[in-house]
Amino acid sequence: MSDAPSGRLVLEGVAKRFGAIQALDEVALAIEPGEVLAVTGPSGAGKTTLCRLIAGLERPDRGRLTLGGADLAQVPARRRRVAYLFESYALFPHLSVFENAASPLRAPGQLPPLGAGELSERVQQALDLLGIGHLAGRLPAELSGGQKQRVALARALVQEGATATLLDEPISHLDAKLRHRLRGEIKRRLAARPAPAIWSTPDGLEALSVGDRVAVLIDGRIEQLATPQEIWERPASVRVARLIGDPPMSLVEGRVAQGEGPPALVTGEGARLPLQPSLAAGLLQLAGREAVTLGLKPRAIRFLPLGEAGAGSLPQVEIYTVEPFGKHAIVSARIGAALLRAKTAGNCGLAVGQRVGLQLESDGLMVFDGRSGRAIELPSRTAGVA
Amino acid sequence: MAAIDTDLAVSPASATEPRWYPYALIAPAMITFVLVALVPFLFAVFISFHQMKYGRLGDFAGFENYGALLSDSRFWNSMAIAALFVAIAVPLEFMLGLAGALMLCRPIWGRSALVPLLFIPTTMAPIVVGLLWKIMLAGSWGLLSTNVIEPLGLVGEISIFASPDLALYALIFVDVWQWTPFMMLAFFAGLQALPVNPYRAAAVDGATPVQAFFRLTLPMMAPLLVVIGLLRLIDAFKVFDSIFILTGGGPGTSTEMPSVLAYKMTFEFWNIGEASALAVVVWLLFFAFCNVFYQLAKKKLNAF
Repeated sequence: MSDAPSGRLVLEGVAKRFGAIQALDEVALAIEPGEVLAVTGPSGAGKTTLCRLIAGLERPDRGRLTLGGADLAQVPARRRRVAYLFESYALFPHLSVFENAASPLRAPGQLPPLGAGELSERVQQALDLLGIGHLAGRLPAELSGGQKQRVALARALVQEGATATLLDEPISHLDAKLRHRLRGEIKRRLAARPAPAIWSTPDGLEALSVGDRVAVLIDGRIEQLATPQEIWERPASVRVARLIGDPPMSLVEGRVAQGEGPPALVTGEGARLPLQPSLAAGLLQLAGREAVTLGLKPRAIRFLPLGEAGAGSLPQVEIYTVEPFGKHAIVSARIGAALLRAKTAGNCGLAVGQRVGLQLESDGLMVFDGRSGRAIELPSRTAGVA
Repeated sequence: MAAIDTDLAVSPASATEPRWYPYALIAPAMITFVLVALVPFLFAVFISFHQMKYGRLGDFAGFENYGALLSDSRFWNSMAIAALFVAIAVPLEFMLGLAGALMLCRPIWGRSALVPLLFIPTTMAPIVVGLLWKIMLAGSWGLLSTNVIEPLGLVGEISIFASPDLALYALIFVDVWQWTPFMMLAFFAGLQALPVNPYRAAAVDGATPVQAFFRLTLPMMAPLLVVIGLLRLIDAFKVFDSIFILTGGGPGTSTEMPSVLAYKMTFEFWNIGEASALAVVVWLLFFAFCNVFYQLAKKKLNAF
């Protein structure tokens, strides 16, 4: 099947509107053969519209799509030979699980056509991989939601000769154990294909784990397109920061106050997050950017019990929640309306209501513009907290 | 469809209901059914085993009426005519109805006004349909006969219903006129209810519109097609009103369908015993046919 015409998938200035909703706007992407682009974003961000445009089920209002250099504008869906896993599964209700998975291989575009033996072997292999081999004879109406999703997944996986693979939330309805196992298995198969792939998911961490690159889609626009590492380390905006992280970055909105007392970030409710003078000065240097959002990664926040060395000189906060996860725990404290979430050792010994010292590490700090939400590069990277 | 769990309909309240409650709920339907369908039918079966002429129940006759019926060439003639009528009318109505339904699914200007209009032939009383076509096709002055049929030279200046060779086909035409819109609207409703996502998946798979029709639309519509087709088949076999008005079974016996023959046996020959035997034979035929058909459909279609 490797003789299939394939190559880079390129989107330039693609826009699509449904009534009053701008589903996609100015989307520009290039995906290499063998590359998996993870597309993440909240529901309604345009992930499904993006897949449908590439599959040919919708036409863009503006912009250009090319696959291997060929313009797709005049190519109908049935000639694009894309493997597409629908978020809604789109199984054929009158066909068995096996026939559903085999359907793309029986389609007329398949060149060369597979022999019956090879076809059934490939389909059965896909079903077995997904743990639904024993359901091959069942009808979709007799399956659970997760089983249906796996049939849809099998249908996408058997199309080794597809010109592109589009997986729209492929593992969202599977149980956690299966999700962990399949994430790697599917990624491996996509990487082996000489075709670009898109993996859409509302789960930011899943996007980081499966994508060679990650596109964060928000309100139809690409908010950030970068490697998983870059997105993890330096989210381009507050909106990206909210989607990524385990737990996501803590965000504190406020104004830098200097003058009476030690410098601090004062939130809308009047709560104060004390800042190290150098950071406060750096923030004030940025003209007109007094209103900022401070992003604190879990590793930047430490809660020190009051008895511990050095804790006495720190600003005090009260522990708000403690969620142990075995090896680690997520502990939070409140500053005004904002929640500061730290990742601690599982046996941290902290209790709800306990007063602790708050220590912030400059390493995991980010500053965002208070109005636009975009990340701001500080003049000096010596940011820290008193 | 096979997995719809009917147990869900059983309410947990059943534990607190008196035992007679469900029976009370179905009683009106059952009483009506027994009074207007089961009792007359059983009475007809009873009569068919007796001599009954001129409305007086005679002696028990065993299978005499059945013997007389099965050796009556007029009975076999009526069955052959009915078979021909059904074999032509029903497939025509079925295919025209399906084609029309597919056309209705396209965005046509004025569709919402068109759909109720299409129902007119089906909602007309069959007697009215009969009279309408009797006038339209009347010899020497009917609108359609003078303008279309006579110029074609099919029949002279007589009604097409008076032609022994063509009368049956004229009746088939009227039946098709009356029932195609019903089929069309039933299929249209079925098409509207089909899920849209499998079509998207088929398009992405590479299926052409024609393939999508044969591999998706037809299989997904199959249960509806089977039920509507079967109903129409039974109904067409029993057609009475329009034939009674248009030809009365004639000329000769050339359009004498079983229901018309049964009517004549009863009210013209007053041989009620043999007429009942005819009714029972037709019932048996359909009972067997529907059962076989239903079992086949259940197995082949994964439906019902």
